[in-house]
Amino acid sequence: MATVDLKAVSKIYGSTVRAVDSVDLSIANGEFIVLVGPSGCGKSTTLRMIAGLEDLSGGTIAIGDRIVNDVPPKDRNIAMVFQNYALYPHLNVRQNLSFGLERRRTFKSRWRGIWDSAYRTQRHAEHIAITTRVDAAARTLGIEHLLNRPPRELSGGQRQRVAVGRALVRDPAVFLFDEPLSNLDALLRGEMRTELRILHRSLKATMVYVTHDQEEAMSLADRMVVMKDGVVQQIGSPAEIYERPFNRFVASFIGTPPMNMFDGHIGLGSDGEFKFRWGKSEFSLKNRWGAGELSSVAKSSVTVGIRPDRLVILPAAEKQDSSCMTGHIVTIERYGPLADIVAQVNGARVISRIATDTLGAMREGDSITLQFGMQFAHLFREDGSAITSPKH
Amino acid sequence: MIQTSARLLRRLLAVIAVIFVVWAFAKVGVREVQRFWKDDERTEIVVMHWSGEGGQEEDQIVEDSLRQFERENPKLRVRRINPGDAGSFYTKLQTMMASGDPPDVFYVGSERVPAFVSLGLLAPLDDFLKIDSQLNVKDRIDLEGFYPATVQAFQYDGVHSGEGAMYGIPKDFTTVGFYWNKDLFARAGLAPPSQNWTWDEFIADARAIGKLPDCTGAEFVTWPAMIRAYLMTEGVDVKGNSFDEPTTSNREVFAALDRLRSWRHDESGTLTSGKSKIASGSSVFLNGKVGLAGPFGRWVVPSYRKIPPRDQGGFEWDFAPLPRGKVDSNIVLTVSWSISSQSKHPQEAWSLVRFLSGEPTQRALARLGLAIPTIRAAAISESFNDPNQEPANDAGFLTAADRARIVDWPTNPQFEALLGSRLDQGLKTGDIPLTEAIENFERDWRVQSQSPLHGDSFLAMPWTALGWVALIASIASLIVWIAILRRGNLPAHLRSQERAGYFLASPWLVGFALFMAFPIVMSLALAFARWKGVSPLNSAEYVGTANFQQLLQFDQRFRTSLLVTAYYAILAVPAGQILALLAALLMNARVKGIHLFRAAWYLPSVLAGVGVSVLWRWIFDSDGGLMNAALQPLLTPLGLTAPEWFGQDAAIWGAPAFALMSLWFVGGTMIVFLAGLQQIPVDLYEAASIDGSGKVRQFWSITLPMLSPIILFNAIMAIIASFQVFTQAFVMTGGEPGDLTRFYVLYLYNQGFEFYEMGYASAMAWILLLVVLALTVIVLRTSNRWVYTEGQKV
Repeated sequence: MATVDLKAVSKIYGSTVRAVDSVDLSIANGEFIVLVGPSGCGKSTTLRMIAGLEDLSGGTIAIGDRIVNDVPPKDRNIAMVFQNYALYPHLNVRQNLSFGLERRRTFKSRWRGIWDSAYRTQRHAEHIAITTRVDAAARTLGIEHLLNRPPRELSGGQRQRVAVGRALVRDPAVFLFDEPLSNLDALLRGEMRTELRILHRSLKATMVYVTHDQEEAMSLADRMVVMKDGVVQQIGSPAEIYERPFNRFVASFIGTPPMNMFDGHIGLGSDGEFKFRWGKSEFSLKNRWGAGELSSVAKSSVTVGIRPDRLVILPAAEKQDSSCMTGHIVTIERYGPLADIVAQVNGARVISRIATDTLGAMREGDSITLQFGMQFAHLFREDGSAITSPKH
Repeated sequence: MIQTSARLLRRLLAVIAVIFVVWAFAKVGVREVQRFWKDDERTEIVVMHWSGEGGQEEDQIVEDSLRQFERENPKLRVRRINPGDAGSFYTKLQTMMASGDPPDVFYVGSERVPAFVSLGLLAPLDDFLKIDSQLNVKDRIDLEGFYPATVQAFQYDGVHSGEGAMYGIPKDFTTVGFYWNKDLFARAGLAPPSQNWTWDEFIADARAIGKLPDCTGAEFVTWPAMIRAYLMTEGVDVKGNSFDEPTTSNREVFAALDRLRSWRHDESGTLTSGKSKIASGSSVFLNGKVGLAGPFGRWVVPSYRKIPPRDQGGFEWDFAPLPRGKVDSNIVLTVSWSISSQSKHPQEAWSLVRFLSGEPTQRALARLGLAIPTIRAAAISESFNDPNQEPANDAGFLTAADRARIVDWPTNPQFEALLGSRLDQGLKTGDIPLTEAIENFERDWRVQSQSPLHGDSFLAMPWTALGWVALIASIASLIVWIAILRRGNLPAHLRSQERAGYFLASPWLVGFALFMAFPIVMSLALAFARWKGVSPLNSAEYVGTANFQQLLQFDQRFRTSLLVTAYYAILAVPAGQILALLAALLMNARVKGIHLFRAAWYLPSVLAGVGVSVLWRWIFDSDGGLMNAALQPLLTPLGLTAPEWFGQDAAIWGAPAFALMSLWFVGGTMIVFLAGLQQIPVDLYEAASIDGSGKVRQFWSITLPMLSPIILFNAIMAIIASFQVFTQAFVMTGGEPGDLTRFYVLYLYNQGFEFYEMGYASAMAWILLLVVLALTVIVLRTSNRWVYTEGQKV
């Protein structure tokens, strides 16, 4: 078990491409950290730098108390699970699992035992120990019956378990996962997610996990790190990041379906309050932001973001006030108990997620009224940064 | 726009291709038709000759003579073939004879007469001569006017040369002797050699010149004919009553040979060392550091005349006939115009021979300085004896001619080859004692002359029956094949696709059947036959398993060649694989300019062939070659000397030298390894490095297993290639010394194309196939222990 500390870690390819730009991250002992972001955001590179598979262009990485910038991967006491599993195709499952342990034997020489009987005994004991550990790991992952098979005879899920087992058997200080579930089908992915979570709880090991799938990140992470273009956007628990995204990118990246964004500007209403003007409508913001915060962005362009489940769509005639707008339904996507209504309003496409049984008689093409729930809205400046709400 | 122009280009190329094909067919067709039309009027005679030492000038003189002949004989047309040097000439002649379409008139060297006559290739000329003299034809050939020995050289009665029928009219000849450097003789204070000098005088001169700084006394070539010429001056020879009882171990013969050996190997500076493969023969004389060079005939004169005069850094030189021992003797080497026994126009051919052997043509050739006319009157004329040209001693060749004898050979060409090869080991390279060399010669010749393949007569090969069997077998297999295809029960549209596929593949299938399958089947049939390869196939005789019996039971040389090849394979295959793999690992690095390095490694594989072999002969030369120049400084501190690769140390270092050379060609193997390396997923290395493996461990645990299918492929290809070494050995050593670098395929070539034992060579080819097949099967069988084919699938 160990902490991992990244200080101003950078990776620059060539002279200009900043794949990872000055990342600071402290990972606590036993924490499950997920790096998430779109492809090319630098999350995998960061992980590979922790593993020692990539050199750093700047900054330091410490595992435990030791700075490991110049320590080769084999001496970092880490284990890694690869996206393509990277099982050794010429070895069977048992040999794959024991490969790392064999490399770390104390009694390495195959020949010395021939004349040195004490050595032979110790080597044999070591062999038994390795076998025991492999068996234990196999049992944990439910792959005992596969131990003598070559990887090519395994299914994707079984290979994934072997890959995890290869890390597990080593009992490393830090587990690294590089998109380990992305080659599995959806069902298996969900199942493995749960198992990884359980595994983490039972091992209490430090785990660093990379994925591009924000749902996976949300479901697994103690804390997640959202990255974009090599820069860390936000670090926090899944709930924090969902509820209080630091910027427009984090807000739109996290959550399904994505947050609805409305580009408008802040103006003074006839009642002397700051209003959000979008199209011909005005919306009051006083329930969520104070005048102080709003005055800083007065008359400038801003974006209001509202998650689909906070956006209410009603049949057209039901209710009309200044916080409502009219439009029509483009399509309705039903997911069992939930349904997404995609509607065209004021030239913009918005999505609302509601319980299916509240759909009523709404149909595609119907006129609707859109009701903004401003008390749940997020407000972003023109540069994308969030205006935090004190009343949240 | 781009698409239309691409389509246009494609159409244009197609049209050009079609035009080209049509044009090629039309051109050949028109030429053949023309030949038929023209032949209606004139009879065509085909003449073949060579012009090696005589070069362009000899070629032109023959051409002019033939045009003159055509003018004088308007009903005849002469087609001339000149393949170049004598070697190419005989190869071409052999193929033409085997195909049943030999030239009507061609050169024959006197040494080939017994072999050619015994194969029935030459027409006897006595009747033509008799009729000419009865009719008293104007230009008739009067053999009385020829040097007698040159006439004897083309007489053969089936056993003895110099007796029996006449098989060629000698066109030129030479006697032999030593060319001497006048400047070195003067510097050593020596008198010029006299016309009848002795071996004692010869060796005294050589020793004196050998004492001059940086000079060697003499280059003494040990070619079989020259060895016999040397022995004849001591009144002895290598043949007893017949060639079946060689006298090589007689006391007097041995004494003479041992004197020659002693001059070379017991003294320093007297004779050239025999170490060098390249600095030997007539070219050694050119550097001006060798006092005497020989025994050579007249043929070196054109190249020696290019030696610049003294004031331009050259030297003056002259000729002295062969020194005398107990006997004053010399030999005659001569070439004739002969007529093929297959000629369809023997009368016309004879008239051409008469013309070409006549005095005017001989005189014209004599002016080149290369050929000595066989007609005495022409020889003593100013045409040959040109006082303005070196050598001054033209007369020396002619006076020697009167005491010269012919050097006859048995019908089996292996006698000469074995004599030269075996004695060279004792006399020249000195890698074995002379007594042993002589024993080897006698043993190997005994095996040859007692072979069941010689002498006995066998039944004719039942070609007709075999042909029927082959025809029936191929029709049957075709029917079975079609039946198998039919049974597939394909839907109609697939069947038509299948037909189209076979139709498109048919050019290759036909080509394969004609040019691969047919020769392969033929060679299998010939493995059980005695066929000389210079006569049509219907002369082949069925010998049962005699070829295999002789090979496996008696032929020591076969065993040696197999051992030499195996020795080479054991060294070259693993070394080549390891080096190629190491190179591939290096070339797999991501370094700037890596493509340049890869190209550099691959380049030598593109350059393979005769040129590279010549280059490597220089490199391995024991006398100043690059390899030893590089090795010696490393070895001297250890008290070692660099090996004489193809000389004294050839038994140990001959095959390894070729293995070393083979490393030059690892580029192809390297490219395959490189492709394999780049297929190995990077994450396996990353996983292994995280699992605790360093670079070395990764190589053993990841690279090697993942590469093992490619290693298997490369190893099998290398094993097959290692048993097919030919060009290098043929060019660099010719199998010498003895048989120490005689690779299997080289020996096969010797048998088939030099000793005319095509059946024997076919049997060897099939044994080679079995050996390679067995090795391949063994490797494949063991491969499931070490090849991880899963690596390709995951």
